[in-house]
Amino acid sequence: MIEAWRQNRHRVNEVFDEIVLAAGQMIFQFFYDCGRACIFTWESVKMIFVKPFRFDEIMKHMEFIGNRSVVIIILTSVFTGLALSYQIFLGFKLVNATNLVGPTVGLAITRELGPVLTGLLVAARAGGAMAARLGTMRVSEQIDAMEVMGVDPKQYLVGPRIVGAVLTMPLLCAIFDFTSMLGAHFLCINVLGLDRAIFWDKIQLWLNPGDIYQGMLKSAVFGLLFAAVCCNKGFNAVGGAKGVGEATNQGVVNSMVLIIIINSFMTNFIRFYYVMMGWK
Amino acid sequence: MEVSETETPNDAKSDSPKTRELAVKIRDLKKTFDGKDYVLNGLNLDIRKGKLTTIIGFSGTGKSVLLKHILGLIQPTSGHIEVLGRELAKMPREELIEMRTHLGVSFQYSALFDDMSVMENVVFPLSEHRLSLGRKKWEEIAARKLGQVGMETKHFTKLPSELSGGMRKRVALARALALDPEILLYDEPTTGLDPILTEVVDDLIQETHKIHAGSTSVIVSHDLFAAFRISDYIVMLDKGGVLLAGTPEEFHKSKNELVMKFLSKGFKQQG
Repeated sequence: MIEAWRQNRHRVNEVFDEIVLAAGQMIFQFFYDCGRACIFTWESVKMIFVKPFRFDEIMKHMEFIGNRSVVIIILTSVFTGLALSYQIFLGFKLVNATNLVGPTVGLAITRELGPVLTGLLVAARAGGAMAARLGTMRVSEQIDAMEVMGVDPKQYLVGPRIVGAVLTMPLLCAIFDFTSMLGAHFLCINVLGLDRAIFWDKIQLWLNPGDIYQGMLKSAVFGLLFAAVCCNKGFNAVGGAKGVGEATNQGVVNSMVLIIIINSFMTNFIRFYYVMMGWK
Repeated sequence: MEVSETETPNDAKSDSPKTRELAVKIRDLKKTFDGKDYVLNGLNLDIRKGKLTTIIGFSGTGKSVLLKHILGLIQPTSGHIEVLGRELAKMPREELIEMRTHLGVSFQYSALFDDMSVMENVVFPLSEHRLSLGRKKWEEIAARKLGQVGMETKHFTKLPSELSGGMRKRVALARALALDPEILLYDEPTTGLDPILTEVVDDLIQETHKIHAGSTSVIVSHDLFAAFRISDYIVMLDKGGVLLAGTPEEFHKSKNELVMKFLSKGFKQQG
């Protein structure tokens, strides 16, 4: 066997080289794409502060991202609150700690599930629509037409979408937090028979406004992320309908993966910051 | 193939007094997308003010790329492009935006904003660059421009998806005319249209050129009949450069093998 390996070691080396090269290219491409997306985002957002200001466009996109996502956010959050509180209730019942169901659900929702699920839902709905819209405009030369009319397409199309997402996401996250707590309340009080006063008293005791704020901060970051990623993909789409489809798909998938990864980093960073500041 | 002095009546390589009357002046323009193959390879071209010039050539000879360079949508790998006497590459953003208000473009597939009505499409450039006029005046101008290209009032509130191909071309032309540009550029204006509509659009281009006295029109087209019928000058591209530039008569008289082949095949194809 060793002899066979010696005879084929050139081939083994070649395969190894290919793997290393492919991995290197992937890593390089990843950082290259990240760099391009950052430049694209910066160029688009800074144009918001250059005349003519696009308040109408920002409001239009806030309405699209926010208002039209409210129903789906409420639906999802209520059922998330129901399912989460039931599982926590079953677990805590084993150790006779059902009094802590309320604050545990509250902390999980406000710190993690609220911003992450809001981010994922809105990235899929509004982010996909952004990538598809900009991609279609790119391949049908509408963006070129805008540019030759002396209108900066990044200022008109991209900047307002990113700002709209950043401003709207915390509000959607707050709605998610509120309605999922209502779902948890309904299940715990009306179905499982927990005491209403204890439920809310413990929530008041353990849940700080800081927990809600950190969730809202996270969701604003997720808004920036998905809007920038999806707009970048759509804006640079090439190759007709197929290209638009690919841009939309990549935009949504990349946004979702990034939201989950960045959430993990942000959780640790915020925790570290709290400890440094001597907070709970 | 390099352009010869005898075949360029518009003094593409000289800086004679005539060049002062140029709408577009291009010198030694090179463009490569991959660093190897040059789509445009040392192209020299002058487009005179007030004339209707058609750019023709085989597919893949860089006609649309040239148009995008004139519009400043693509940066050249090397070379110089002057539009209305101003160098595009060195232009700061604000100046480029201002300069573009002097250009009107009708794109191959019209490129109308699909979430805006016909009226809103034509009002859009006015609302961006003629802020002081106000909505009422914008709509007045837009209605006038739409009327000029033969659009009926009943279509003004329709979305582009509700219009036929010919109507979309008309709206695109009205939008391009909204700011009374000095240079009008048409990218394949008759692609995908039937022969009757093609003639209608060609006539519309010629009429528009006449109405807007002093304006320069540049057409990128495959339509040889139209090129010879309505153009003051024709430019034929080949291998990233100008093969021949001249009046339609000069083209007919040309003994250049490629030009003869292109014309005979083109006319035969168009019946």
